Amino acid sequence: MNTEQAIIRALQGNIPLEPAPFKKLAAGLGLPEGKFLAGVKELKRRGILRSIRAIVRHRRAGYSANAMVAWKVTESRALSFGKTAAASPAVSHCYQRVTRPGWPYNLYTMVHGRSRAEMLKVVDGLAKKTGAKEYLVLESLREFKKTSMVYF
Amino acid sequence: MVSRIDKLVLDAAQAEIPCLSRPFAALGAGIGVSEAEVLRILKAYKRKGVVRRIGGSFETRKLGFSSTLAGMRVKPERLAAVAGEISKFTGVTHCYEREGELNLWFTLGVRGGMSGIDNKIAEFRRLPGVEKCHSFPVKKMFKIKTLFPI
Repeated sequence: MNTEQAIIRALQGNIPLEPAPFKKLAAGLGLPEGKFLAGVKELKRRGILRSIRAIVRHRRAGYSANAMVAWKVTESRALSFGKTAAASPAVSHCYQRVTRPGWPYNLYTMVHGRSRAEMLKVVDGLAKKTGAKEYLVLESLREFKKTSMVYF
Repeated sequence: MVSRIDKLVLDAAQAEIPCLSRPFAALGAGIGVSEAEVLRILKAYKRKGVVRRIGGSFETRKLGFSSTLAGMRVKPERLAAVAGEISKFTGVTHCYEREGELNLWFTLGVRGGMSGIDNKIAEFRRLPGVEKCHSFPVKKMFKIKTLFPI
């Protein structure tokens, strides 16, 4: 494993909650802290690392209602739909995806709210704003797995 | 109850932890909270499970991985077993039962090209009780921003 992969491996889990976490991670790899930090900055510059941050379990942070909404939008309207949905603070993810036979939905949004009513209001607002009429609000019934990717 | 200081710290830490020698001191300086207090609050919310992870968030594609979202139709009596089987695979990071025709949804990532995804999907499709399994790879990404103001 090269240094870059080792740094990714050190950051894909949890960084230690102590004053100088990168110094500790660097020491674990036998690297000086400066070299580790330079490696992290390089990963960021190249867009491989989006950011180092805290990831919150939204349900436990008061956002108890969330749904994946699958939208059927005409190809010519997909771009403007995506931009409108992305502008909403209640939407965390928005993607255009391929369709399949019997499944014509091409845009997907994750919508969050502090209550079901609030979440549904956001969905309704998006439908009105974009003119999208066909969509499915796919609320989650059970969580089987939610974790982060392990790369190396 | 979340105090004003807790909220400041959690919101700032969700935005970004700076890549500096003393990141928690720098994060705290921006919002007028001491390094020790920042660490105390983050540890407390991590312990409570509100914070799932504090670490790097990567662009999967740029690391040479391919990914997809998949939706399955599974016989209700086999749903939990199939979900358990699928979830054993490291590349499956999210797996949910949802309402509707496709009742089991998961995200899948594998190193290499889309053929690896297709192979894995084909493998999952063969699990007993799976009636349908569609893979919906991304055509265009509009937003990923999982920041939840506390």
